[in-house]
Amino acid sequence: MSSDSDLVRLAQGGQLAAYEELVRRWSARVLALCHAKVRSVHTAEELAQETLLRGLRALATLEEPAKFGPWLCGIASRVCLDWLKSGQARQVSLDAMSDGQADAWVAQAGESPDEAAARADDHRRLLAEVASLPEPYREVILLYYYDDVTYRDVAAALGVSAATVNARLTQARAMLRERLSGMQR
Amino acid sequence: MRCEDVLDQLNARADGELPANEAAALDAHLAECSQCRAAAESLQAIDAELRTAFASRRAAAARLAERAAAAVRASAGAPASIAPPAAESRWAWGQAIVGLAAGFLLAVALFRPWQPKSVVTPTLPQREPIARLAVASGWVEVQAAGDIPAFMCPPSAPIGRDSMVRTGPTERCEISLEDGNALRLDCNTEVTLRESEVVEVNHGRLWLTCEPGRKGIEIQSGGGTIVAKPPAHLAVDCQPQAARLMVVDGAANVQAGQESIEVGPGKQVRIVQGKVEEAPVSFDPVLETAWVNSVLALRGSEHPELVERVDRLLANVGAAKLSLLYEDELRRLGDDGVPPLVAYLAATRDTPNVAQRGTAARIVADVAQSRWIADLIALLTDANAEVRFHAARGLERLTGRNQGCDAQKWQSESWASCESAHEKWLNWWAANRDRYPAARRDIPAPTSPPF
Repeated sequence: MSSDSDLVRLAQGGQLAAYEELVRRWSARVLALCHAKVRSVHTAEELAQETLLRGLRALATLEEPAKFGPWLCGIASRVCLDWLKSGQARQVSLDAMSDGQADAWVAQAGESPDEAAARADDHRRLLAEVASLPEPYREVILLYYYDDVTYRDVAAALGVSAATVNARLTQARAMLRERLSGMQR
Repeated sequence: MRCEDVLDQLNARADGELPANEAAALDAHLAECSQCRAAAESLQAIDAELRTAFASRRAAAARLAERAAAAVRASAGAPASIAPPAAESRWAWGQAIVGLAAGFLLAVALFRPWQPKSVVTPTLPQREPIARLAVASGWVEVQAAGDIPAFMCPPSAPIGRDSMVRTGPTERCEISLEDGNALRLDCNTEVTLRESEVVEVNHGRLWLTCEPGRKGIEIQSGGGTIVAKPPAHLAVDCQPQAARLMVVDGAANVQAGQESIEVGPGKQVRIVQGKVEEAPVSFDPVLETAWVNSVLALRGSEHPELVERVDRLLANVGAAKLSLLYEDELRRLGDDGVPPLVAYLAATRDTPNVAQRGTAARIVADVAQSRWIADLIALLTDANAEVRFHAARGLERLTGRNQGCDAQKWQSESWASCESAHEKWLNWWAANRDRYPAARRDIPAPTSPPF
């Protein structure tokens, strides 16, 4: 598999398909980051796409191809910040209410409609708790579970160490466990 | 090894990140510590739950990747290749052709999201356009008249007479017709543009905006003909054997067989095998045509029509929540539950004495965050005294001030006694609104006297 650096160089040389591969490689992490910032699935998808296109337009300015991921995540952060400042964040809650509901209701094999509904309800509750975590913890959870990534991948996207990712994931899961068990009591 | 140090290692091991040289020490500790063993089991459970809960998000990420890749091709204005067989390089360029039409560059992409192997290399038809693809959430398929193969049409591309336009399973679009009217197509919809004022719906869902002073539009669907009378907003749902017409605003004439009837605003009819059938009168145009929102959103979330539709949708949600949920349950939603309640309060100002309005205002006053300050100031002019009382209470909670008029006064005294306080709130907001970027900017002027 080609490295990010190789693909960036090819894309900078005019090979658009190389940038498409970078898009496929990074879109889940960019989407996770946007989701963590704006807390709305639908808005995050729009902002992630905007990020990926801005990345293409600005690719010629990237001097260190090996740092493509952190550079793209920086663009995502700015795109989200611009959106949050624009006042459009008022509509987030409408989006947030429908997050993940439709697809979570599909009954699995051997599962009754009631069981499917209960499972969907559990997932909604869990995702709502994830959304309410403080941002550093929300970020690591979303980055980690949106994609098949390692601590190093998450660390590169956030500009922190792998040990910090480990610590934040530990803390985030502990908070989720505590909140969910508190709701069940 | 201390238990608090073990947690990071447990997580690292669950994630396949624990260095081999630390595993033995961790196992030794777990063998002795039942508390940490329980923590390990609990960790596995929450990890499994998260993985399941995020399955749909991962699928969404995969879809985004494909959409973004297609957008990359489109934004470059250059053709892309269909991916060659796996044995070849993934990003070898294909043999696509760029078509140049008079005065503008139109990239003819060979990428078809739902039929990836169908490769065509057409030259664009040199016909006078009768319509233009105004916005689209992705690539839309257009087939010009004659034997010219279908091609994928990027936004702003012109569309000629007798062209078939088809959206895929995830694409929606808006088409600007030459005479100033507009069509919006839902996913999996196919229409043929016979003329700029004659549209044949082959299948799918369509929204028609017929602007005042423009020509009426004729829609052929389900064996009948619908003629919109401007100004009008119509929605058409075309199934294999039947079509359903919803007149959202304005009116339309429906002709099928020997029948010809006029359908007014808020009414709907079905056309089945060339006959007009009555359909249930009651329908909610905002809910029935919710798909239109995502087309409007392509023009930006501040699009006035979208804002109005979202407010109406939120007001419906607010009314439903107030009817179906206990007040405690609504309060537990916290600030996330406030948007539908505020929209409901705004939408029901003409019926100020509905009992639920007091409940809605009370919850908003207690749980709303500072982004709702402007909306609370707007509620100070509500005709319902209880709503004003709670709005003033909420403002005092969020800002620590009452502008010389406490909540009780807003409930019990006349507008003349409260007017100066209202003026102070408006001035305060003008001076402070930049501190609340998530809040609405402007507060509508009150009617005089508002209560």
